[in-house]
Parts: sequence; C-alpha cells; structure tokens
Amino acid sequence: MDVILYSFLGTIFGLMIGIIPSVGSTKALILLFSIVGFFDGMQYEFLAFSLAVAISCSIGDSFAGVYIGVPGSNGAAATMVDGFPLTKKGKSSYAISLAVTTSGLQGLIWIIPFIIVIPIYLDFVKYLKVPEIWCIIVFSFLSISLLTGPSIIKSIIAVLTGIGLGSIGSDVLSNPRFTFGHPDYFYDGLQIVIISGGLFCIPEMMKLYKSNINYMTENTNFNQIRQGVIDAIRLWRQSFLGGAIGFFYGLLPGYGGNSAEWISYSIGSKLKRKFNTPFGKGAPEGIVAPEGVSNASKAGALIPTILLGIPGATWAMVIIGLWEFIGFSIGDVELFNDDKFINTIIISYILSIVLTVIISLLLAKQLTTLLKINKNIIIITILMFTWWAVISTNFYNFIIEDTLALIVFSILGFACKLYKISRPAILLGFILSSKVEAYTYQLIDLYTLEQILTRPIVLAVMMLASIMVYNRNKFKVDYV
Amino acid sequence: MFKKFIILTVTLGFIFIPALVFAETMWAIIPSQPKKSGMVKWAWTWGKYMNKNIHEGSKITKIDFKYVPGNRGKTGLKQFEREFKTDNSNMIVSTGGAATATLLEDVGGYDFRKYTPIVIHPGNMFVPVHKSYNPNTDKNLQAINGNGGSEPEHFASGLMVCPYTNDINKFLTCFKEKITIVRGVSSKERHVMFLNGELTVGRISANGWLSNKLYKKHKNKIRIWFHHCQMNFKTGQWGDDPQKEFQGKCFDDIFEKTHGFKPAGKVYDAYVLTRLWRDGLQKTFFVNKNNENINDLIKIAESTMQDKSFEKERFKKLGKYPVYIGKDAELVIQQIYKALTKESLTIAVRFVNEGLGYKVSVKEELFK
Repeated sequence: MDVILYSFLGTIFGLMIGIIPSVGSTKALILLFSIVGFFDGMQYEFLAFSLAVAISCSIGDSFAGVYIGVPGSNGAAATMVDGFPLTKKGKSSYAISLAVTTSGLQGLIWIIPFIIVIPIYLDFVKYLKVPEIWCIIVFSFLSISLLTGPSIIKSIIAVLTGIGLGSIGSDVLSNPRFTFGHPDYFYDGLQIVIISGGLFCIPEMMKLYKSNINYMTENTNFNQIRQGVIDAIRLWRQSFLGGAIGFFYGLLPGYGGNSAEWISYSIGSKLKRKFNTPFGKGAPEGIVAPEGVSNASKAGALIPTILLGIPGATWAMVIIGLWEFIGFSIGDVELFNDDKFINTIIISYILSIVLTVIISLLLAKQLTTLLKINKNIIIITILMFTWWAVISTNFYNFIIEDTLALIVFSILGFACKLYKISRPAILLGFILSSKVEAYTYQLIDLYTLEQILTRPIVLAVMMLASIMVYNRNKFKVDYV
Repeated sequence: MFKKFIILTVTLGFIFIPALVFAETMWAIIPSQPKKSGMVKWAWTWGKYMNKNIHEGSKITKIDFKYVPGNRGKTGLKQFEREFKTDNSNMIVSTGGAATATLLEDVGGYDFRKYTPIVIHPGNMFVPVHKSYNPNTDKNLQAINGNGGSEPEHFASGLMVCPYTNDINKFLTCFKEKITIVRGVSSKERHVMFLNGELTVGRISANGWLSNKLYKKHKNKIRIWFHHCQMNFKTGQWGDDPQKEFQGKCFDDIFEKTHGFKPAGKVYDAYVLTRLWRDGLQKTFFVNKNNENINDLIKIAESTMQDKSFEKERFKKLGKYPVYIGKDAELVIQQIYKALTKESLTIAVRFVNEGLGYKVSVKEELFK
C-alpha cells in the first residue's frame, strides 16, 4: 500500500518537475538528495518514490516541448519539432495525448524483458566472474566514449577525468589517496550529488535563463485527447520502432537513451506514413517515433543498472547514488534475495507510467499552468534545492567543503558545456572508477591472460566492442 | 488570506517549538550513512524496541538517529570524542570495525575507556570454504575488501594453513607463500566470488549463512571451515558459538584437530586480540562518563531485553548472542583491555601491514 502511495506522490512530483523546461529526470533526481534523509527507515517507499519521479519526469518533459517550444530535456527536443507546430495550430491536446500515450505504452511493453530476466539472473550470475565484469565495465567506457560528444578524444578525456575524480579518497587496500590533508572529508570519496549537481543542474539553469519562453494557453479538448490516444495506437510501427531503439540504447551500459530520440525520429520518418503533414510542421509520426524511446530506454537502462550496478543512463547514475545512500547495494546479487526490492521496482515503474498517462491526459490544463511560473523563480528554487541536496548528503557536517566542491564542479560543468565535453562520460567514469580499479587488481591477482582470453562471454563482449568501434558513426549522437 | 496564514504559522510555531526544545530525545550517533549495513540494522532494531520500552518517569522521551559519515566511520568517532560526547543527549553506536580502528588506527582520541557502555552485543563471523578445498595442497585465496574489521578472519585462516603460532617471521613468510590476498573485493562482491569459486575462503555472519538465498543454493558445495571462539565476558572463559547449528567449529578446536596441538604463542595471542576487540565490541551503545541519562538508558535497555517480540527479532536478525548491559558491559571493556599487550599489538600491526598490505601503526596511547 505504501509503495502505491509513494509511487503516486513520486509521479506527481516528477510530472511537475518534468514539465519545467530544461529540468529532466537527472536534475529531478539530483534534487531528491535534499529529501532522502526524511526517508530514514523507509527505503522501499523511497525506492518507489524516486523511480516514479524518474519515469514521470520523462513523460512530463514533453509538455514544455509541446506547449512552449522549449524541451524539458535533450531527449524531448525531438518531440518538440512536431509537437510545438501542432500547438500553434490549436491542437495541443492532441499533441500531448499522442506523446504521453506513446511514451506510456512503450514503457509498459519494454519492461517485460526486465521482468523476464530477473528470476533467471541468479542462475546466470555464476557465469559472470571477474573477467566478464571487467570487460563489461571497459565496454561501458568504450560505449560512452564512442557514442557521446562530438569528439572521441574529448570523450576519453571526460572518462579519464571521471576516473580521476573517483580515485579521490582511498586505494583498494583502503590506504588514503588524494585526501589533500583533509581525510575526514575526502577519505570516503566525493559524493555523487556534488559532481552531478555541479555538472548538470547549474549549467542547465543558465540555459533556462537564456531561453525565451512564450506560453500558449491550453484549453483541454477531450475530442483531441481521444483522437491522440487512437492515433498513438494506429501509429504502432513508429511507436514500436521508438521503443526498440530506446530499449537498445538503454541497455548500453553508461549510455542510456539520451538523444536516441533523434535516431528514432530519423528512422521513423522513413517508415510508411498514415498522415500527410510534413515533418517539422506537426506530423503525428514525428511525435510518436521519439516518444516511443522515452520510457522504453528507461526500461532498458534498468537492466544493467540493477543487475550489474553499471548505470544504463545518466539518470541511472544518479538513482544508483540515491538508492545506495538509502541503503540498497545496487549490483549486489544479495539484492535478489530481497523480493520486496524487485517487486517495488516493478510495481512502481508500471504504476507511475499508468498514473502519469492518466494525470497528463485529464489534467493537462492544470499542469501547464506550471509553465507560467517566472523562470527566475524556478532557477532560484532549483539552485537552492541543489545546494541543499549537496550539503544534506553529508548530514550538514561539511557545509563549507560541500559548497566549495559544488562551485568547482559547476565551473567544470560550464566548461564542459562550452567545449562540448561529455558530462555523462565524466559521471560514468566517476561512478565506475573504483570498480574498474578493483576489478583490474582482481584480474591480476586471479587470472592469467590466457585464462581471460578463452572465456566465451569475454570474447562476445570484445566482439560487440569491435562492432561498435567499426560502426561508431551509425550509432553516434551528440549529448554533452 | 495571507494574514491568516501568518497568524496560523506563528501560533503553530509557539506550540511546537517549545515542545521540540524540551523533549529529551536521545540521539544515537551512527558513524556512517543510513545504509542497510549491519551496524545500521542493529541500531534501528534496538532503537525501535528501546522506544517501545521507555519507562514512566524517564527523562528520555525518544531515541532517534543522527548520521555522521566520513573517513570509513572514523569521522563520527572523532567527532563524538571531540564534540558530541559532552552533550547528554548523545550516545555513539560503535561496531567491530570501530573497535578494530580504535585498536590499530588514529581515531582522534576515541577510546572506550573514556565512555560508559550501555549495551554491548557481541557477535561472530564464520569462515566458509569449498568442500573440495584441501588446505595442504590448494592455494588459499582470500578477499580483502578494504573496509577493515576482517583482520581476524585473515589471521585465523592464515594460522590454519601456517601454524606458526609463536613466530611472526615464519608465519608471515608462509602466509605470503600460501595465501593470495585478492585486492579490491567489496563486501558485496566477496560472496559471489566465493560461491563462484574465485575465492577459496569466504566470510559471512550467522544470519547470512542461514538465510542468504545464494548460499542456500550452494550448500552442497560449501561448508563452514571454522568460526571464532566466543568469550563469556562474565567469567573470562572461551567457549563455542551459542548457536547449536555452528557448534564444534570453533577455531581453537579445529586448529587442534588439524595440527594436533592447541594453538598458543605470540602470533596466536595477536589473533586473539583482534578477534576479541572485533567480536566483543561487535555492536554497542556508549555514552560519555557521567552522562546524566546513563541510568535511564540502562533501564530502557533492560526492559527491552525482557520484550519477547524484541527477542524474536533479535534472534532472527542478529543471532542468539548474549547481550551485556550496564555493569556487565563494563566487564567486556575490562576484558578487551586485559588482552591488550604491546607485544600482541605489535604483531597484529605487522600482520596487517605486511600480510594484508594496508598501513596501520602501534598506538602508544592505548598503553597509557
């Protein structure tokens, strides 16, 4: 019952945050660090709440794109291309209905593989030994280096920067390392909220500050909503294609579905059409194809995130931090002893999608009033909450140190945005830094080169990596 | 409307703020984040039932938690010693890891002799091996997860394969030859690596052994090699684990069966020192000496021990280990310091530095 209640609350919160331009699920989850302390002893409730926030936020993203032509996040930008022209034509209810129905349907379809994989994972885990996990981690670095950002060199620099940041604290034998004479603060390593808050929240607020918002009044039209639902089903080809692309990109460790919406948009535009409206002028197919990606990519990202503790997307990097903070050891097989954990994930995921779709369809008018809030108020509020999130994770024991670190990483975030250096790559490097170091030592201590190179899963991952290197331009999308 | 809101807020403030100020909340300081670690689970379980057993007339109205993470728990210990201990509303949650850190590392003057123990709840750790493992021929592969607190298991399995109980030089040479310490294994990974056969030796609590699904699945392939013997702190005598399922596997007995002589000597004493500190102070509540809430806390803890529902949950989650409260708990402190000699500590420090590879030092202040 509590899971249902907190999924509902998370859905409302996520939708409201998601609607705000430039604030996607990553930023919404970062803000949750400020309230995670209130969930002391309520881990499962928080699990449901935070997952619902991530899911509903990505559906909420579409609102800003459709109504004001400023996407909630990078991913929703593709929806905006055809969504905003429909709003200008007075068909906003139709556009939003098409978007949320597609996103919801594909989200529900693509969670099925996750549900199938979970019960058999404990049998499969015996094949995942140190060499296999090491290879998967290295593969995730490769995938994020090759697929994000305009330059591979810059992405590699980003990954290495992240690894460097992750090495602050202690070495594998627990000896202090890079503690800068202040082990009480640095020994346990930097908090993920400081790095993610600095890299993502603050620079995005600058983007919002510079954006020009022209609000268009919403008058809920139930005929348009009904037609949107019908067309979302009729356009199943584009929708399913979006779902498949989203799920695939979500599965790629570290990459997630960021901007895969554009790939779906591009391929979807080549499929057989049911409407004649040109793309970019309000084509329903142009909304359905990218929206199919949205939640399907989240379902895909849940698999590496929960099974291996290797985040499947940028939002998953933050949610791992949150879940570990509240006490779940993500990637630990012992977690699979905990039926309540798995059930909460599945229930919360499904429930938040269903609730978000229903709320979005019925209360679109009320929700869009959030877009009228002065952007300066939004910016100040988010900055305050980000700062609060940062200082609260250390239980207010290191307010000065945490604040200084946030400033440093905000500057880094601005620099990355300016020079188009992949911020997700930095975050991934940071998160996997200790793992890659530990597994490298374990590999050296336990295996010979010959033993490593004769393992089937290792060979399969290496082959997959080679295919990715060879075809990198086909998969590549920009997200910095 | 706005005016009404302000009036309401101020009125509520007048009612609640004094209530908050005068309520005697006892803060249990947990030197970590609120993760579901053994320490946090233990503190939450005790806290939950202690709150139910607060007696009439007690100054304490509630027991709540404060988290002070950092420096692998040492920040919390240091801050308690430096700042929190003088506040009557604070008590520290201390664990086996904190005890080992107090023995071997700098914890800013944190010292059990300066505080009054309210509850001491000892525990035990079990060392499982694969059934196929032959200590004479197979390399012993052990994990080191860098979290500290696992020194007694490394020490003991080292002694099992290198029975030089009185010669640290021979012991260390043999240890390095027969045992591979696999670096960088986290506490969560070590279970999978052990069950996958990548590690020969495991490390698990009683509760984990009995309830972990993965371990249950592999029960036909693994067995308990030994566990640490447990001290009765009232008598100072060593004995077996109190739980029937694990009896007959105490280190000293298994060692004698394996090597034909009782373990004794300087290296053995150093091992005993680490196991006594780690297991004896496995989970504890301490307050500063002269804290005005000592009597209330002891009374609450004693009532909690009489609570049948607590007993059920305690046995299930924390094992059937005895609990020492008040004066009995002070006996635990006396015993652990009695075992502390400069020679034993020096050998333990050498073992950790050279055998396990992380830097610790002999703390002179422990002998003052």
